[in-house]
Amino acid sequence: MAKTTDAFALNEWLVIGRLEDVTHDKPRITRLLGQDIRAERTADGTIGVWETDPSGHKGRALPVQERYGHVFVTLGETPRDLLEMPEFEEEGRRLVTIGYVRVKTSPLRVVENFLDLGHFPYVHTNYLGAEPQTEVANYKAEIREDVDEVWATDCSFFQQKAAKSATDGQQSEYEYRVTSPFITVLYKTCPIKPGAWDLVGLFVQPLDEDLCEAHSFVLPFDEENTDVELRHFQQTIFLQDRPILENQLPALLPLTPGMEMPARADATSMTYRRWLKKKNITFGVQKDAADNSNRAA
Amino acid sequence: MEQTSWIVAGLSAGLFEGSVMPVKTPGKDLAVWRQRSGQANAVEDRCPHRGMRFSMGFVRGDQLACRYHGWEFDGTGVCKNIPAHPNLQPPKTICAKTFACQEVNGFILVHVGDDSAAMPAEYSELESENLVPVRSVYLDASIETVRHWLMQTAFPPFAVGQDGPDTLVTYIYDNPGENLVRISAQTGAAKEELIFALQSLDDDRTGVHVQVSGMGSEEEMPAVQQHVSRWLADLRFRLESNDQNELNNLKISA
Amino acid sequence: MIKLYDYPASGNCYKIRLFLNILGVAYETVPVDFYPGMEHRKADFKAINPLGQLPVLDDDGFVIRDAQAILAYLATKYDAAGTWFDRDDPVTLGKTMMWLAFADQITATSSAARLHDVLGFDLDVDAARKGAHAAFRILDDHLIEQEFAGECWLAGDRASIADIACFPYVALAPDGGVDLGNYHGIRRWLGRIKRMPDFVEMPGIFLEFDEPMAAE
Repeated sequence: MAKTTDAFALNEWLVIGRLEDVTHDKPRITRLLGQDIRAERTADGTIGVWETDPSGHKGRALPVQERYGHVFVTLGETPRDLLEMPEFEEEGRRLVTIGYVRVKTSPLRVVENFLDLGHFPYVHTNYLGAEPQTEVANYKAEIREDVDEVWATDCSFFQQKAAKSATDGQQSEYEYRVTSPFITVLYKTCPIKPGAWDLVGLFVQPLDEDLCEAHSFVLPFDEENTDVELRHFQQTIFLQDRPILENQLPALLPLTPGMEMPARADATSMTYRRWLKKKNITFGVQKDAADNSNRAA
Repeated sequence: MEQTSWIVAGLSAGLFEGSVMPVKTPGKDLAVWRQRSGQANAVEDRCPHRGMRFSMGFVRGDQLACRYHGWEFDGTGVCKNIPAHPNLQPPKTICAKTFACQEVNGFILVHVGDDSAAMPAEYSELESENLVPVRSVYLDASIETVRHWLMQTAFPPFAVGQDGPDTLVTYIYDNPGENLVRISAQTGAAKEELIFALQSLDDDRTGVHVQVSGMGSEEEMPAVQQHVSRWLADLRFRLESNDQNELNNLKISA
Repeated sequence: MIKLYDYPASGNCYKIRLFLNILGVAYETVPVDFYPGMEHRKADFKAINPLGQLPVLDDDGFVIRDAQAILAYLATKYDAAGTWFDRDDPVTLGKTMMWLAFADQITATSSAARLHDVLGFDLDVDAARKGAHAAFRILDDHLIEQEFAGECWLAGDRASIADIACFPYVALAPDGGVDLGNYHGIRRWLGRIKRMPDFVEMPGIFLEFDEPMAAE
């Protein structure tokens, strides 16, 4: 696939890897929105990223931000700002990056799954939910025009093992925030510090319309677990989602009404889809309502 | 390749109660499942909620549940339960697309065409006494290639194992339906029959669902099934090899 | 207390976690940062296992590597009934060892395809998938024949460590783009294993949900 022509997607800051994924010995050679790119450590230690041609030769240098433990670039001229997360400056928090997982589906499907509560008892059984406590109580989902973000608040779910630090079941409170078609953060009740939120973030790197690499992080208050234990917990959760993501048909996200039937529990995803439609995004979106063909076997 | 109106999805004996299996056809993907009470159903392999494959779902009693959010659907495709809203009666607009599914003489048939054609008569016309299901086998070959070789292949009769390799075998090849092949192998007084129901998965892959009759006594059934299963594996290997030497061993001698 | 050097997403480590749970033997895990840390390739871990592979089991100072070897050791030491690794009958022993060895074939193909598709490991994924299908045909043919004989397990009419050894990377094959849809014998066998008492899952393997779970 060639570089996308989707103007909205091109003007986003997009993740291409963790800081540690780009070393002096090993560049990161990957793809973004159909465009081949190469990330290298330059002599002064900073990270440079270039578009490359099919034989690997470097072309245009791309703007780069090193933030939140990851490397972000943009292919556009006038990118929207990358999200702000002031919690990163807070005392006592730890950042653990998870590493990427590759998924054969639209990056938009990956974000939408992250926002979903109803699947906890079935996909994350005995971690984030279990029968018979399957009910998703009413919550609030909205587009906040002032910041141009999607927010869901007052979300709540009973969880057997909400986080690595949890020793008992708890009623978890959640807030969800979407700042880009490809970036979302959730804020959930911290099991050990009442009143505080733990952050779990998802940066989806869109390689092609139906192939992405999901980079994520946790930013909790936690004094007991090692980085590796926190990392393993998150990987477990994501690898439980992956077979679902790869078996949704069609792979590209349908935005035409009628193809998929939401329930009230899907309020956040419906708001996310409404927001995507307003942005006229085409990358990762099902093109033609009639083209419902199943993905290739 | 054109989608035939009715397809053979598998053997009844291969679909246990409370299980789901994926069935691929050239035009669409299906999930075929069996209720605990025994009935087999066919549904488009896509939950109407968020497009998740039903073939990865699970059966609860007489309902098929989607793996993603646990939504449950009955045999007619109507959504009966949405776990996220346990007190809500699901709106009637939420339903899965179903296909007519019938079990006849040990085969599971599904009506996938847009027409209103009745099930082809050849399946119910099969003499049903003593049809023993063996297995389904899948070959990396077109349905035309598979049919071509089945119509001339020398199946070694189960009885010959006892009588010896020089026994004279008389073969009769029959095509009782477009996708049904019958081989009868006569040795002396014993007449062994194999029925092959062919299913096109796509241009290059074919499923073959096999039943037999007139082979061995009731106690010998496991040995009969093993004999036929091994021969099918051999047939699959030779047919896929595209090697003339291997293929020659499939044919009856002139 | 048994220590298991472990990575939750490793099918080979899961063989041990599953079997220990079935045996009801307590253990603690030592998490190893397999990905993205590549800790298993570094000097500290190589001192524990020079092959740089997981899992490794430490039973009160006895250190043993290789998932199949660990299964055989645990069955011999902790399975009082002696059904998981029957060494009394030579035929059963032969069959168990034959299918235990087959697990390496499954790992080399299906696990490799999965590492490529899930974690971006650089390897020949087409060869891995082709090899997995070739192995699965053999496995499927065998399981179907076992069913004819009224036996539901790889080495006979009882589950053995061969079933535990072959299970994970077969069940996880779709993660690596290897579809199990046409292997009916394998699918039925996977369902049997998942319904065993004390079965536990790992990410990528779904539980059987025959009955709704009641509140604790």
